[in-house]
Amino acid sequence: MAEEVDLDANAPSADAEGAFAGADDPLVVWTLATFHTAAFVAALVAALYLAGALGELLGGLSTLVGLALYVLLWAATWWTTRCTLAEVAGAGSDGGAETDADAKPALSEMFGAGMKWGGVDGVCFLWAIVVVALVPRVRLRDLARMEADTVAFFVFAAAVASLLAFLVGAVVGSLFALFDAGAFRVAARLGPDSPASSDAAESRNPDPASEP
Amino acid sequence: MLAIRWLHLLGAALALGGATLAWWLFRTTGFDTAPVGESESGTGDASEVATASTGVPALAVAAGYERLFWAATGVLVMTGVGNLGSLAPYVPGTETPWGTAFVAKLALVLAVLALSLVRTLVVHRYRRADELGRAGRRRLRRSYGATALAFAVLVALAEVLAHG
Repeated sequence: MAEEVDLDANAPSADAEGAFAGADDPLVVWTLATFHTAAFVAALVAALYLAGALGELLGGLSTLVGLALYVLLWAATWWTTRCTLAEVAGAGSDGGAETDADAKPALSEMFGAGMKWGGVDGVCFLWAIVVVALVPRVRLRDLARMEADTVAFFVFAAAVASLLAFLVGAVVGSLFALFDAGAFRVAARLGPDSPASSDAAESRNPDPASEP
Repeated sequence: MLAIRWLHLLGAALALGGATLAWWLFRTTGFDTAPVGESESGTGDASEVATASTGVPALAVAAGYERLFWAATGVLVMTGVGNLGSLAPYVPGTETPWGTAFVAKLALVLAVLALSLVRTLVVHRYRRADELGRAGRRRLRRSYGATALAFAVLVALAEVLAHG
């Protein structure tokens, strides 16, 4: 096993060859978007349950509103994940990484894009909550009667809430970006590029003598 | 809502049944156990061996299952929270046996999600390389077997949560 690695010492490692290669593939986008949505919701449910606040929250949420919020979060996360992975794949195509040192910018690219688009996802989710939960209760007649001060207050509140949502989304997005980067690297080590997996050479040059 | 429960059952059936089917397909094709230089017909023809070890149809099956798996998983989490809402606001506490089973189920769900992400990315890499050797087949067969096993445990935990 060690000899195989030594023979290939001049070749780039699985990481350097591009752990994020083909990251903008529709299957990868779909997988990561669903993973982020499902893991975020499951972790949130676990945290709320352990804090003893789950019953109250679910008691005040109708099933249809809950489903609509989940679907909107899923859709927004799919879009922002697609943007993140397009940025990462675009950065990775600038000549490709030749060494492990060259692969590090790809990781920082993943982290930066994850943070930025995670923030955008947070803002999208906030506005999804506003649209789903508040808009059906607002009457146009009441809006027309609103005074300028009230409108200014709502605009200010919306701006502050959006900023907070962006910050929370950026933190969650950067955590997921780190986890995703780890998953990409583990997959690169387990996949066909791994020195431990001699499948590629084996299937190209079947050599009965090499078989035990 | 009855529709939410049916959707939850459908998602579980697709994820568990699909993983079992994928494991069975990888197990019964036999390519991962056939010695190199010896085809299934026993003629030892090199081109037959190459076709057998390339395994592109197996990769198409795996990629198809991955798409279905993530759709089913997204729906499962969504409808799982919906089912939980039917208990609200009287969700049993963490100190009860129900609470212990619920926390165990959530932890297993998170673990399955994380490991399935790696599995899908491995399938994606094999698909990009457009070849799947014996070690790759063995790896995917085991991962689908483990996925099916984990989902079977999740179904058992769901049964405990629903009926005690």
